[in-house]
Amino acid sequence: MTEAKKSEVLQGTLDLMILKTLQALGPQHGFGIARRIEQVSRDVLQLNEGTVYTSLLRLLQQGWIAAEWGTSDNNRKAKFYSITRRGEKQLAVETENWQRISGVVGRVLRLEGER
Amino acid sequence: MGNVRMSRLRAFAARVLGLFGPRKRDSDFDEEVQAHLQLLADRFVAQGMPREDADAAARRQFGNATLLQEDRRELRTLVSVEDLGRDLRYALRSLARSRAFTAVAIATLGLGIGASSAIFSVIDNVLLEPFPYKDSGRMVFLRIVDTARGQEGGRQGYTSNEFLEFANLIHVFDGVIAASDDLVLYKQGEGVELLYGAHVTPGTFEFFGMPALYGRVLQPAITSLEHRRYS
Repeated sequence: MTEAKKSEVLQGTLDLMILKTLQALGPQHGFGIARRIEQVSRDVLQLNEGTVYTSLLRLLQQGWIAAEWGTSDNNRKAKFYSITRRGEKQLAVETENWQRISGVVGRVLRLEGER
Repeated sequence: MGNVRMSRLRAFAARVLGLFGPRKRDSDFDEEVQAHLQLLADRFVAQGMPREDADAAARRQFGNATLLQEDRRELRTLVSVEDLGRDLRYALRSLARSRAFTAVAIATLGLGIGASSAIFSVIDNVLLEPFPYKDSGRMVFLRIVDTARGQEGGRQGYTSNEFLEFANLIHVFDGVIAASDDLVLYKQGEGVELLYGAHVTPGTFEFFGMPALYGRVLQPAITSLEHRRYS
């Protein structure tokens, strides 16, 4: 494994990251979301930006986000996504889930040989 | 748990909706992808990359757009239903091509279905719903039995007073009717016909839920005039 290798985005975590991004930054278009995730992940994550749109569609179908056509900063037509009330609730649940799971995994990985 | 089921239900509903008018959303999505690629490329150019390289780099970073379109289609609609529609159209085209086969198939199906439904209507009339009356399952025929003597059978005839008692004093029935049969002579034109007739109490037609085939049913005003009692 080379040091510069980026990690793949874990299955299912992209939805969570997008929900959080929309909650933190307000309405965003797909490009904005991709930039934000790239920025926060400090180039650690390998993200096929197209998958952001698949994830957005999934979230739309669940009713956790809403979409609306608008105009972007540079006067382009763009679809803006925003988190819904149901989405906020879901985010809270998922965040707690994630912290619990990652906590457990972290503890397991830290186990020293206690045989 | 309920939350998960609800969200699955919503996703399913969205897919069912996706069966109708998905074309517009496809073009919406294309527009979104193009804008995204454009913005990415612009960004690379701003970072000093030549234009052609920037477009390629943008596509690389975006990932496989065709694959994505497939994923979306799977998410958005019930793919199996779309496939079903395509299969149906294909089947119809094949049938249109081989006329003779189609004719035989239709004749076979028609005879089969016709025979089955004929058999069913016989069974329905004989076994399942033998009487054409409303709620025939709730109709009972009363019989008076002397329990002290313990004889089987009992009596099926009633005096007028007994009938009136049933009709007016016992309220477990929705309705009570009585009849006595009689032979009648029916004169029509030249000939005379012998028919089985019946004297019936008021409300008989309503009881059976049947209209009169000819003439009109008994009216309370008329029958009360002829309310004769035989014992």
